[in-house]
Amino acid sequence: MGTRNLVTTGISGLDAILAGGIPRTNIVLLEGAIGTGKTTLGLEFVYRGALQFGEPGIVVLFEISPDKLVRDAAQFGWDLPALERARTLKIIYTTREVFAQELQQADSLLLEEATHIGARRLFVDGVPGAMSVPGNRIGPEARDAFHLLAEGLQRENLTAVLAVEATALSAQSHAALPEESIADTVIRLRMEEMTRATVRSIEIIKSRGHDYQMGRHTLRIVDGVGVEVYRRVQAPRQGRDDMAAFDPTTRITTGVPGLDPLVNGGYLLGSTTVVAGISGVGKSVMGLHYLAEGARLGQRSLMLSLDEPIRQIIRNANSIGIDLKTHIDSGLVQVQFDTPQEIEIDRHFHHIETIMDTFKPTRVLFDSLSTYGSNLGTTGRTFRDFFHALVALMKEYQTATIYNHENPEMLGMASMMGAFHMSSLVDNILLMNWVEMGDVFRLALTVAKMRANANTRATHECEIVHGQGMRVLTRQVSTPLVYPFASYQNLISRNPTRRQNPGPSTPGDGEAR
Amino acid sequence: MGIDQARTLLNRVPALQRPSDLDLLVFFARHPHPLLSTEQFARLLGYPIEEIARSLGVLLTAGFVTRAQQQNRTRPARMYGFSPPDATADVLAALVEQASTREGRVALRLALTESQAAAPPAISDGQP
Repeated sequence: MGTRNLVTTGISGLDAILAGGIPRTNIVLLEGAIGTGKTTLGLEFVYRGALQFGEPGIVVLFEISPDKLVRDAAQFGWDLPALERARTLKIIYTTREVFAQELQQADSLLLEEATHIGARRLFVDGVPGAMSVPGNRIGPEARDAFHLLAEGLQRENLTAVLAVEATALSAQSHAALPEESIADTVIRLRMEEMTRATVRSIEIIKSRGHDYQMGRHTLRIVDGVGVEVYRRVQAPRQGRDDMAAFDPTTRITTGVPGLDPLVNGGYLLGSTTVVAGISGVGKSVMGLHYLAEGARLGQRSLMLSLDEPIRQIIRNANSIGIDLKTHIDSGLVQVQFDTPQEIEIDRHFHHIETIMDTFKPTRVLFDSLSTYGSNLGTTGRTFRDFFHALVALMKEYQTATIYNHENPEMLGMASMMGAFHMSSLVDNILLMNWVEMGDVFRLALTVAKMRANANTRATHECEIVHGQGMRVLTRQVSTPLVYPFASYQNLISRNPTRRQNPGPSTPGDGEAR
Repeated sequence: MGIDQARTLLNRVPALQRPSDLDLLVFFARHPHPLLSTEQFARLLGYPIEEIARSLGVLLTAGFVTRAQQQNRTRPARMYGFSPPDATADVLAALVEQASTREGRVALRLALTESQAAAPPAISDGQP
């Protein structure tokens, strides 16, 4: 069985969704409306080939003047004139009419030039118009003309990217272009509206001869870099979804005095823990203890914050006696802040993947999950898929991960995770509640769920002391005060009251008394 | 740029005689490898075909531009290359830079129009 001959595009992130690259000699149709990034992507395909892979290339332009292309490329740090001087790149300006004629003739000057510089890659900016020569505008003629073009390119062993402007592609759907059935690979670029923002996306519609990741991935055009493609967060990662918390013995201690005994000595490696409670209840404080404990034990910890910038987090930590800056400086703690406004979730997730791969933390803290939810929305699948992908990623790296989650209910909780409906993905849930006693709010902590662990689900009082942080107080309940269910009525209807004279329970007897 | 400066600059490139020579030179500087017919050059630059054919001859003869040779070619489009000799590269670059500004182009065209009126008629290279 022969190895696949793939052309690596060299475009950041694109080869990953193309499973390594484009099969050599494929004709790639690059569709998109104005401003979607066709010219930049096509040019980068040729530029990377010439610069990084020793594959000379030709760029054919119709409307854009080559000097403007050179100027615009310089914005990305691409020195096209240097490649032209090295004879690994040639930018040819022509008309569609000449181009259509040239590609259909055996004595084509264009193909002769390609042979002359040993070109392996070709980018043509604006191909559908190339088919629009007089008398060759629509229907079978356009299809035939494209077919001849494809044949000519294949003869020359060129891997060609042909940009086609299709204004209808800015909408959700469009009528198929005649060229799509002939092209080997069809890549569609879009501008997508997200509330009042606009983001670019890229989708591989088809690609003969290899596997690829379907769906719309994020595409960005970045000054000083070029095109960046971020695989959509929902796309499955090979092997990752099989990961689990398979180590039943290693415990990651919480760092909060008094809490470890409630969670059987700590969280398991690879486990997912949600700490839920209203704002100000102490979730972040508990998280800072978790990071400091990691640093004390020499374990790497990562904190991802959407809520507070790093300097503010350091200040907060100082107020409870944790010198977070020293831990950061030591390299044991890494804190990443990303602004939540108009978050591009594919890119954000890629950033997290990169940190996980390079930093390899044992402990991870997300502060907070609810900020993701308020930006991505809780009604669609985006948030759920993102959280699912996060959980799978953290399990792949076997981290003990805590997600702080702001539950909007101030007193009591009707549900563990509000509108998020994620409890099934979570191994451990800690509920933090205010309890109104007299004229004071006191802090209560309940370990509501500990998958594969013993759990009493008892509520404990906590306190947060300035300069010292959080601690869980010893539960002082004498055994005689723990009564059996039979001592109560209205248990299921959330209003349990203790009976005066408990006796054997029978259906309906609660009503009778 | 004044007319005197334009004259001084043009004196260093005596091959350029007419406004169409200048405009074609600037076109080649911006499009170093065009694959076009004379007719298409004329359409893009807004000159009569004969005038552009003559200017192409001027630039080819001066060695500023090369044209791919192809035997038995039946189609009119040719592949050109803008490749000024080292000796003239700097002055041509300065000329193109000046011609890329509105004032510079006006001054250079005026200087060329004056010299065109004073010069005997030029001869095309015969390859429209």
